Amino acid sequence: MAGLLHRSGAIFFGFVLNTPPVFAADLSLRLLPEIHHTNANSPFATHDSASLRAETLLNWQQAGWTFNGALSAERDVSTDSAHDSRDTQHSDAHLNELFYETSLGDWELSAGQKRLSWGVGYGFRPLDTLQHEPRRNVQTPLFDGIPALLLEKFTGDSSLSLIYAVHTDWRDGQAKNLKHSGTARVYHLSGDWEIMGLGAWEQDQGFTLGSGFSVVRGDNWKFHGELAWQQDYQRWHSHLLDTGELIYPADPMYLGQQHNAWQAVLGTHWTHTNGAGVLLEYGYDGSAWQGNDWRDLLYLTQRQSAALGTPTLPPEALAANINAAAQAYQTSNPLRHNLLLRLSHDSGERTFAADWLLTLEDGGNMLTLSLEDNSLNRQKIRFGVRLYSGPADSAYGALNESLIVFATWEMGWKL
Amino acid sequence: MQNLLASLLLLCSLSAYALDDVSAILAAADRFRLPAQSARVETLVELYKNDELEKSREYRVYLKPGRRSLVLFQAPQEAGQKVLMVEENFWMLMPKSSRPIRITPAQKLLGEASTGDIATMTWSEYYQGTVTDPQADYAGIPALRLELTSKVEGTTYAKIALWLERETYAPLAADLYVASGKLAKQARYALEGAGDQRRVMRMTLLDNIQKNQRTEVKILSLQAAELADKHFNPMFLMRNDIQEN
Repeated sequence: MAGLLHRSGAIFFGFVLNTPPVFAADLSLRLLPEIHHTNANSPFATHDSASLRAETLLNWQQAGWTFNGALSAERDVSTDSAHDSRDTQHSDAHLNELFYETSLGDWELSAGQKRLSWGVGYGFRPLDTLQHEPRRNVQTPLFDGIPALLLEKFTGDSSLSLIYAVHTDWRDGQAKNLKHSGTARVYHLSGDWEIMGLGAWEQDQGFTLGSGFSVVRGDNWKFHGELAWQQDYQRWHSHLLDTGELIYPADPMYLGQQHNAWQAVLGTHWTHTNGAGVLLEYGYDGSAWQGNDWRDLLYLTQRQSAALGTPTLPPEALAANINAAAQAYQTSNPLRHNLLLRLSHDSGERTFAADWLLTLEDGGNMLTLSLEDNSLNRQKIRFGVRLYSGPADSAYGALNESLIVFATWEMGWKL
Repeated sequence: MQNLLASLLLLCSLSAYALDDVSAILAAADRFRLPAQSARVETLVELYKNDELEKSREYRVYLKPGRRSLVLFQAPQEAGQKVLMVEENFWMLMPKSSRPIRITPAQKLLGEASTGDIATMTWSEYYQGTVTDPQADYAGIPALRLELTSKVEGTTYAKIALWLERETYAPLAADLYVASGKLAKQARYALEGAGDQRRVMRMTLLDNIQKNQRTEVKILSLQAAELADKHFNPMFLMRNDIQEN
């Protein structure tokens, strides 16, 4: 029943709520089928595969606490050239976030595992030094937050964040490679301009300094940029490329420490009231491989593949060396110079997007077409296709898969 | 002769509304939608197609002077999503990213009921204009017709034709035009209550392109509430501890 409230001399209707709810909770279910088609010309070729992943996600916020977790189950079926199929199933529990937030006078405190993404780039964010949020996945990943303690101060247009974080690799239920870091982030909004600055120190990585900006011009244009310098970083190396040998008795790939890398991103986004959008972004990653690094690796794998038929070298060890070389793809940017073009149209109910990433040094490219439908109540449906192509000696052209077909069905409930 | 007399009368009545009067009229009209400078508004948005409810979304909106508003998406498939508007600057936060994304004024318009429609509940801070017809009639109700143009950057609509009740300045209807001059939507305002407590409790948006489609923006509750300035800092969007003063 409507009630009239008198407060500050004004009169209001209060139909349902007089205070906000003390907690919010929601549950959602996601189904994520994917089909991967292998690239027959790749030296790292594996098998065609299909997977279905089911995820139950719970978000709970109450009295300063936030919990984000998920239970997932996945079934994978891969088929080799002899049409023999292999069926695997596994399930996981994910603690994505669990943190507590409160105010301490003029300061804000957060403690726990929290997502700490930062930066203004679309496809690449040099300032995202803590979270390293994945930006190239076909599906929105369930990435975990970082165990951290944040002390922050906010005004209407500025903020300072002091962050102590611990980076951890969890293997077999145990924390490995604990790395401590300290980061200071500053932010200021001045008119149309957003300016951000970052200073960080991380164990084994040294210092990182960076800054970024974002500005909107008129009703349609946005410009953004980031620049960062890393004192130390890790990059993939191969013992075989170091020595010129053809075979190595163990994993030939290793992460070696490097010094002084610059990373930058500069982009513009044009949007129209009819829903059309064009984003163009150039990204430079000085910590990534160059075109000749990939050509050397791919030439090595060709020589190894040719040697598979010779009796002098053990074929199992050679095959293992070739597969191990594919670890070089485990990086945010396979190459230094990257150009991203995104064409999109958002009708309110449906969003179509075409993302085309070109690696300028070798002509390799990745095209992702997707369509998201929000017309149904409480449901979201997305499907698309990703194609990798390029010259045979390009990183994306030599990738072990050439096509991914994917879909997402998501439904949510308020608890 | 009669026409000349009528034209003279019209001119006289038009000139009776000076610029200051129009500002006062808009401020009076605003009070039917937002009777406090700072408020928390719980809103239900329902999309109808061919008069059948297709989907609904819930939002909590905090408004503060200085053209500041914070929209918290409440529907389960959008939970955790936030939109912040500070003057002509706009940001969106997607919960799976936890990073505010700057959006352009053009992006603010997207959707059946754009975030601009639910987060902007006043005219006087955003628009200036003139009374173009002091003797208008809207659906049999004596009305004023005003033409408004935005006086600040980043408004959801560049131009508005607004009908107000002639006696009280209560909002009746509006034609909403985007910067290109195209009529984007038509709004109809439904009031409830009586006397000083009359309030706009429902806004019906008619899509000018998809004629079989309409959006109902219903005010579920409207409370005086104020958030500290820090809540309108885009970096604060990454936090969940929203505390009213």
